[in-house]
Amino acid sequence: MPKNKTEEPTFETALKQLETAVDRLEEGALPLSEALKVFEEGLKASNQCRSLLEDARQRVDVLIRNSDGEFELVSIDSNGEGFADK
Amino acid sequence: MEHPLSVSDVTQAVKQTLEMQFPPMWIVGELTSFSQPSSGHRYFTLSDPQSQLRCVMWRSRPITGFRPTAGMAVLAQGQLTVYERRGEYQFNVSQLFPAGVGQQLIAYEKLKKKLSEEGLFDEDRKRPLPKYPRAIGVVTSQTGAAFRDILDVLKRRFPSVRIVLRPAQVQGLDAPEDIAQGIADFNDFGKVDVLIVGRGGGSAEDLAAFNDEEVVRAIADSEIPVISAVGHEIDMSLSDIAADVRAPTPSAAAEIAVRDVLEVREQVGRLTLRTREFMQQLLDENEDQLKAYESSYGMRRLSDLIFQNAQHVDELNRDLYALLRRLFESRLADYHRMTGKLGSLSPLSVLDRGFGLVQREDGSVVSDAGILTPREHLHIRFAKGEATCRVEKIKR
Repeated sequence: MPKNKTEEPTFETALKQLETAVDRLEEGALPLSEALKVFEEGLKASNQCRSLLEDARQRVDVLIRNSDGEFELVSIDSNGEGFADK
Repeated sequence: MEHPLSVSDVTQAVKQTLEMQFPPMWIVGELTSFSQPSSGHRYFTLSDPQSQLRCVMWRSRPITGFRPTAGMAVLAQGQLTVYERRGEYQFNVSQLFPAGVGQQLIAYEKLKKKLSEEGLFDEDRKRPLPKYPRAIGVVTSQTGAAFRDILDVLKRRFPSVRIVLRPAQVQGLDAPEDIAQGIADFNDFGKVDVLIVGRGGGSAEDLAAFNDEEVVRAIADSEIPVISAVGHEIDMSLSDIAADVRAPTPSAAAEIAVRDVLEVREQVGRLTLRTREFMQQLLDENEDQLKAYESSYGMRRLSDLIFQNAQHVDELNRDLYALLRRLFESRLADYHRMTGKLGSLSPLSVLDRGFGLVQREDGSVVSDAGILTPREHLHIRFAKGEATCRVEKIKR
C-alpha cells in the first residue's frame, strides 16, 4: 500500500517480526531476560499472523468515482449475487 | 570459357543471395489457390493484378482464427527462398492472417518497436510484487468470467485479501480509455498493493484493447505493480510486455498475486514452533547452568560456609547463655549472702539468745539507764512475747 500506512499491522510486518524473533533467539547471544522479551514479541507476532490468516471472509468492493471526483467503495457480494451473467 | 557451373551450384548461389538480400518480411496479397495435401503442409499462391508469388507454409506453423480460402485478402509473414528441385523461388510463410488482422499485427509490431525504443518494456522498470498484499485492485469487466475466476482463486488461496474492482469495458471502441482510466484511478485511490488488469480469452480483435498504446502506457506508468492477465493463445499482448508480471489467464494472475494461505499458515506454525523450541532450549540451558553452579566447588564452599557460620552462631549462643547463667548464679549467691548477713544483723535475732529489747512508751529503744525516770513504764520484747514493767530504782 503505497499511501496510507497507518492501520493495524499488516501480515507482512507481523511475519517479519516473527522471523526477527526467531533469528534473534537463534543467534543465542541474548541474556535470559532479553530472550524472554523477544520470545513474547515473537508469540505476539505469531498470534497476529494467525488471526490475519484465519479471517476467511472475502471482501469485495467496487471502486466508483463520484461526481465530485472522490472515490467510493461499494461492497458487493462475492458469492455471485450482483454479478449478472450475460 | 570459364569452368562451367553445375545447376546445383547456381541454384545454391541464387538461394543464398536471395535469403541474404531479403530479410523476413510481410507481404500482402490475394490468396488465389490453397491446397493442403495429406502431409499437412499448405501450398498456395499470393497474387495481385500484376504478379504471383508461390508460397509454402509448413504443417508446424499453425493457422489460427480463420480458414484460408481462395479470393481472400491475406497478410503473410515469411522468408524468400528457393525450392531447389524445381529451381523456383518461393515464399516460406511462418504466419498467415486475414488482411484486416494482418494490418493490426503490423500496427502492433510498429507500436511495440516504438514503445520498446522508449524503454517502456525495459526489465529494470519491472517492480517486484508484494509478497503479502492486503488489497488487490482488479481492472476488468464486472460481468465477465475473468473477474469470477479471480474471486474463486483468491477465496481458495488467501480469503482475507481485500478485492477492489474497478469495472471497465474490455472490448469495443471505448475499452482502451476505460482500462487506462481504471489503472489511473487505482493509482489515485492508492489503497491497493497490486493490480490485475485483463480479461478472459477471446479473438485477436477481442484482445485489441490490450495492445492499445493508451493501455500499455497506463500499465507502464502505474506506481502500483501490475499483473497482466490477458487470455490469449499466440502472441503476448503489449500489456503483457509492459506489465511487471505476465499471467496467461486471470486465474493464473490471482495465483501469482497471493501465496497459498495453507503454505503461509504452515510457515507461521514452523516459525512459532522454532521460537518455542529455542526458548525451551534456552531455559533448559539456564537450568543446567544453574545446576552446574550449585554443584560447583565455590557454591559448595558457600553453603559450607553458611553451615559453618550457623554452627558458630549456635556455639556463640550457647556460650552467651552459659555466661548469662553464670552471671545470674553469682548474683543469686550474692543475694543469698547479703540476705544472710542481713538476718544476722537484725536486732530481733539477738532476742533468741535471751536478750530483751527495752523500749519506752514512745517506742524509743533504751540503751542508757540515765534517761529513765522512776516509776515510768517500759516495754520489754523477748524472742517470744513481751512484758510491761515499772522502773523501781535507777543506777547511773
